[in-house]
Amino acid sequence: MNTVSKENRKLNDKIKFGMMSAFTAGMVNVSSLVLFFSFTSNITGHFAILANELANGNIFKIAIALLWISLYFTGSFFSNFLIRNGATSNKYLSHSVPIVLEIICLVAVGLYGHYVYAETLIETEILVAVLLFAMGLQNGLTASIASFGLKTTHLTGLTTDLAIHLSMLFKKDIANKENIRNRMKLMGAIALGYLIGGVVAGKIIHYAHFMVFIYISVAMIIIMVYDWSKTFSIKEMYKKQRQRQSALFTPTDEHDVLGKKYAQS
Amino acid sequence: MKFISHILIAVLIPLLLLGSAFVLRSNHLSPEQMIMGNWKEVSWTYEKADNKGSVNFNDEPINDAMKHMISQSKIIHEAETWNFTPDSGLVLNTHHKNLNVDWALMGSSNILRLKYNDEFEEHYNLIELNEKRMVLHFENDRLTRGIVRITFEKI
Repeated sequence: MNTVSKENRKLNDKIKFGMMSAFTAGMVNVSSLVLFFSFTSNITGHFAILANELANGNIFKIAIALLWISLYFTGSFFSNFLIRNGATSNKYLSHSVPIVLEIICLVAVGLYGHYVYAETLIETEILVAVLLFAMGLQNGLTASIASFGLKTTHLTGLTTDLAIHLSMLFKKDIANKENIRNRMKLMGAIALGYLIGGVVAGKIIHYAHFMVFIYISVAMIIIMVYDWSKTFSIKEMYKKQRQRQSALFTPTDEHDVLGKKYAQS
Repeated sequence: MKFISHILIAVLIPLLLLGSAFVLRSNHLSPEQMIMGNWKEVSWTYEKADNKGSVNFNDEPINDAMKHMISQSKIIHEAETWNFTPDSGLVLNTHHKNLNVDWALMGSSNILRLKYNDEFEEHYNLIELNEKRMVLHFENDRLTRGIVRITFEKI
């Protein structure tokens, strides 16, 4: 009974965290599409551009596609690197570093876009690159936390997985349907979060313009606080559990009496 | 020692990727530099179109009357030559007058955005651009729904 509630709590936490991350990713993607005419939360399209430009021999565009792909790669690399090599004693600290870096990137794009951006090509390329780096950081973070099973910045793999899981529900001899349903709930929540984020960005972008990235940063801070509260509550839970366990094994007077009787006999 | 080598790898891999991308970029003419100068409209054709009845729009050159109707509400209406200037300005020459608009390349330099009076904004897909030729696409829903292709030659 206790295990089930723990599982549910874990699932609920994952759903909330995944949904919030996907919400910000959806906002970033739609905002960059409107402002820069380029997707920034996934790189499948950029790989397609790279392949096409390689075929055409257009060196300039090859360089740009390479730059963008490598920035996304670098973001994911740093995120996982920081989590795996970071402070093992303080989980919250190692999780928050990629989020802080992402917030810095978003704020930088927002402020630069609002006050400086002159719409030159090089500026567009660099701002898109910074956003791709930020999305790489986020994707690396969520994937690392969820043992590579959760990605929140793009939905191709997620849609495939959702379809596969749905088809599995129709198979009678699948033993653990509860687990499949839970996975589906999580994936559905991520897709919904991404969609809502995109719609919100699409609605506010026309009057907020580049300031939308500042709003996204505020959402990221909420995620960070949520992650902190979860890490803190889990720590507290373990602390209480340890206290209970140590109380159970403390020798009592009764134990002493029994011990003496045993020794006399 | 192991941690330092990890850090070195973590810094070197991204630097190598970024460095090679920047070297490649800086050694070639950017589309922003390539687009500068005078371009003359050579042809208007349908790249793709809904075929209505027996009329096949695909690959048919668009005549002046059709061109007039398609471009009526657009910034580029009746423009014959396009002069891109370095200050993000574009002078559209028509029979009667010149029209000054702002231009910018967006995305991976695949979108040409034109802005007139900070009010009207239009986007064209930049399909081909080299020293001699430029090809733009735009979506059209007048006469027949489809994609119109404008081909230019450098003057």
